[in-house]
Amino acid sequence: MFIQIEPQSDIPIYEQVTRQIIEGIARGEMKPGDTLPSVRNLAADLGVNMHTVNKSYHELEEKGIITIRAKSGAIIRSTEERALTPEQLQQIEKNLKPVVAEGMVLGATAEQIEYMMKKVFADLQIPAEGV
Amino acid sequence: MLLAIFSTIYIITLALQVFVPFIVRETIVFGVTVPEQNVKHPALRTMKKHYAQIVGISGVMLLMMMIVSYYYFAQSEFMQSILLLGCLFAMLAVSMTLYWINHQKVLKLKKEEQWGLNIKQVRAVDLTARSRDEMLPWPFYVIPFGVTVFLIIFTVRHYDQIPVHIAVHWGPSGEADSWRSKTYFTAVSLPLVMLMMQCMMWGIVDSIKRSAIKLAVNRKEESLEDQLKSRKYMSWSIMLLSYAFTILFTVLQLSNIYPSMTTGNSLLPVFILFLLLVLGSVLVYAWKKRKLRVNYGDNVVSEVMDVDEDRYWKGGLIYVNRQDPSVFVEKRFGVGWTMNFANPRGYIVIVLPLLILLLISFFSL
Repeated sequence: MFIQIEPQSDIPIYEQVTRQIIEGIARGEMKPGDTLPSVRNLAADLGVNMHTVNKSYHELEEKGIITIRAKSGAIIRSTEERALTPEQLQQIEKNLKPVVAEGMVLGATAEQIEYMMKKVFADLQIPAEGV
Repeated sequence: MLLAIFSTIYIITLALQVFVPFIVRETIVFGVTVPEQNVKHPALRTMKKHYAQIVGISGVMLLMMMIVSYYYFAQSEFMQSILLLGCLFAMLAVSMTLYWINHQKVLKLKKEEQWGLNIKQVRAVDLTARSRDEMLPWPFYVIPFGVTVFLIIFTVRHYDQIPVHIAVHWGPSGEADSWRSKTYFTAVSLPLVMLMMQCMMWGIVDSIKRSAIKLAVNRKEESLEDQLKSRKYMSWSIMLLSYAFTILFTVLQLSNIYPSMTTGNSLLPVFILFLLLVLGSVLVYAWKKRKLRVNYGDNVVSEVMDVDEDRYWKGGLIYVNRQDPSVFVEKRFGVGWTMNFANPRGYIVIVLPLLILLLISFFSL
């Protein structure tokens, strides 16, 4: 699975890494039980500091998406292990709020936003085309 | 003999110098990053062609001059070495000068035509690449240590048998030409030097393994293949080099303990074999790189390009990047890898063994 980082972007690099790994899992490019590269190796490949990758991995662990084990590295949790908790759902709602609010202010209707949600959902379910 | 050996080295060096622009990545032209969107600019092709022609012709002329003056003017051995080395450096000077002129030209062209100015720069990584890395594991580089340790013990146990004078330097034809009087230190100095070389090679491979697998964002699959294979072949050739050193030094050390081994020119084949192995592995690596090179049929149409790292490459040759955790990166103009001079790990791997090696040589030789 490929990820792409924009060093000059306003979005911090650790966040770009987190987002793209999550997206990769959503697309099914990475399966539960797959191991992410070690922090040291990913940092080398990205050409960034180890702390950056570490931060991203810890964020993923906090979100309940991966498990970090001392020896075997970062492993993607299985669907049962990452069963959605009410707290997680609340967090997602909280994250969605500013986006929906922005849409409302700009005049998007509830239907339009709902349609967009479904479209994003469907897009992620289509496996990424070969690059 | 000296001339034949030297001419071989000269010709191989010349061939590499001539073909370097066609071996390195097409997106790096004379040490300057060229976006894939401009990679087929006609001026670039012409520059590379002219470079190869001029370096090739002047190199061959220098070689002819070298051979002629070797026979007519250089009588003493000292004069001969000066002449041969002089011609080699003159050839390298010509190619470096041409590199420099072309480097400036490409920089100017890039600036004038604003290459890559409005293209988004991204860095691509394959999360599965590491599990497909085929570099040899560390035991391959540690096995020769055993030979060295054995050799040291063997030397100490046969200390009485060693002649009063120990050979410490050998001429190009395999004959010892410098001796020191026997002490325990001079007796084991050769294996110690050998140990340092082995450490250095192990360190280099280990650092390359920890260094980045860099992908070309618009040619991910091809460049990944290139990277994985380059790393694999590099680890093989360093292993070969490490074993070759081990064998050469073992033979030399044994010839110190059993001087009868050196009668006549019996060491010569070992030297020639060693030289052939080293030169051969460089040539094979260059050949493989050429074949693995990502091919661009035309300019790439894309909204993204690889991160332009020109500002970290002094003169397009020396890599200094504090942010990059990689110790080794592939050369931009040349065959092989070069050090990230801003990474302290590199100094430990390269400079420390070299320093110890020099100290050993200084005190024993």
